[in-house]
Amino acid sequence: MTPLHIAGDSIRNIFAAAPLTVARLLFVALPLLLLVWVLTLPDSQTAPPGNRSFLANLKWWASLALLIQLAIYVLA
Amino acid sequence: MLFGIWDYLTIGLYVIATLTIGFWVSRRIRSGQDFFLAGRSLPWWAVGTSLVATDIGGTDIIGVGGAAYRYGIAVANFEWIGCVPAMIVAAFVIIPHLWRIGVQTVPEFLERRYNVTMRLLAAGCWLVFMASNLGVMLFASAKMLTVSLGIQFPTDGPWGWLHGHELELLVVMLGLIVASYTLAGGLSAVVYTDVLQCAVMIGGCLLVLILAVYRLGGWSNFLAQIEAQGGPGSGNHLELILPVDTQTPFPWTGIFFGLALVLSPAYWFGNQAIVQRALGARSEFEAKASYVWGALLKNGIPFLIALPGLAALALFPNLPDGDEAYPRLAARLLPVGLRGVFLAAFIAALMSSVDSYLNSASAIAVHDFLRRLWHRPETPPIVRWGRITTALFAIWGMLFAIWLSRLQGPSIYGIFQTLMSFFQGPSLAILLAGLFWRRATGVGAVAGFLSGVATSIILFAMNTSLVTNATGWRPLFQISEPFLYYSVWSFIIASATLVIFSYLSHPEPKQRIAQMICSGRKLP
Repeated sequence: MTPLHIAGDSIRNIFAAAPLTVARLLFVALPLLLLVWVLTLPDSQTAPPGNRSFLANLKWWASLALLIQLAIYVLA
Repeated sequence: MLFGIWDYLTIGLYVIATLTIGFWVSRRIRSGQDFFLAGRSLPWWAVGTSLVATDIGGTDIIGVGGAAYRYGIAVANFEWIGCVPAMIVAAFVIIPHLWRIGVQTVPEFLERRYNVTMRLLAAGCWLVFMASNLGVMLFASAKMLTVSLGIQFPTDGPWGWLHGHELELLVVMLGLIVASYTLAGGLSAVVYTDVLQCAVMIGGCLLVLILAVYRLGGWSNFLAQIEAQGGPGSGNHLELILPVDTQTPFPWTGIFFGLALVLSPAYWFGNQAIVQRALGARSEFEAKASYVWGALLKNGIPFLIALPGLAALALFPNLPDGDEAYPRLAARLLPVGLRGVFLAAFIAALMSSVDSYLNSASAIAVHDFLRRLWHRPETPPIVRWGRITTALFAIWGMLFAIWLSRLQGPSIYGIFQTLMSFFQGPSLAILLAGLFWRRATGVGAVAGFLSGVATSIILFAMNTSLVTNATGWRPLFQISEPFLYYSVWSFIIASATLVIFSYLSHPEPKQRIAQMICSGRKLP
């Protein structure tokens, strides 16, 4: 046993003691936080110059990709 | 698996279509920027589709199906949380910045932000990674074609002399086809053929999936039969998030911290083979759109490559090798005449990855080594050197694949892939600090990178039987393939070392690094 083994075992025990619900929350929190961030991006960063149409705004398509992620990990 | 004339016609048609597209777009190649960045003319849909096609290799189709068969749907995390979040961040932060500052390679950014040592270190690692991967991909795919799909020449007849050399022949044939259009058309040929290859890959895999679900009595019955098979641990094969003490290589800690937070961003932000095509987009907006489109596509990929593995579990629950699952399923479900579609999908997946690595390895060799170290006033003829290095890497890949096929003993390509993962965590630490922290210095970056790689090597060594037998220690990690954990610790150590050495060294001149820092604002 080395100090690395002892430290590794301690970290492993902490994560092993955490209920799987905590892991599920983390997997849902990541796309959720990104979704909030994407929705707050200004249109100047997400839409092509001079085109303000809904379909051309990447914000909505990125949100769709993240919503699918959310659905997958909420249902998992 | 038996093939008929229609199968061979399907494969022949696919190869002809690929070569036609590849050579057609090569007419426009005039300059180095045309060859390596497609003249910055690529549309978002082509780049995004190519991103996905490049990421899914031939070995992934069978390997992911096999992992799903053995361990369950948890392998889909590599396509979902292991891709989509990082792609969205890259789309709005990293890629537009790299596109705006006009770099051709990621190592070029590292020199402009840090110093030439950092550029050469990163370029060297990526070059070794890509050159090794070329051989590994060709070898692994040819092996799967010969063994899993049963491609063999008869012992007698006019082709009898080729019996026993099928693998070498396939390596050379596939290598020559991919090299021919890649060296003719550069990135344009790679991206536009990737679009065809992605369509063929999705079509072939979708066909297998639909037939599998139909054979199992519909979606509900399909899920019920998977659930009835139990799982590798206490759960079943439909569990996406697995506990820390799972018997699979996919505990949630490794997936979340190692894959989602380190390996995936390292891949989508800094892998030259990936980033290069987005840098070839025709505008900053289209570069962003390509990553968003890629992320949308990525959400559907596990249905095509992981679910068939689960279907195979319901149909053939006792296969000795999980990697037999997908080919066995295709052989059972597809009649002669349609099997060519699956084979074309497999070859398309292989070619879309090999062509990308060929072009990107050539980009690094020419741009980061040849042009950077060329001490004569005139610029070397970039297109010619691009084609020469592409040809050399193709020859190297084929020879390396044949050499791998002659090796006996442990899975040599598995070892190579682990070794290659050593520098991903440190690379991400250096890239992020370079983009977002003005105080990061060249000295700090080099020290951080080297310490991170050293960390990976030490952790790897402490898990090998050589060290554990000699010292009597037990392995440091308790899962079979702990490369996800190497990446986390190497990232942490690289980041800490970078911070310490940056504060111990002089700051970089503000004027020199001003444009390299990612502030989200348009450049003057």
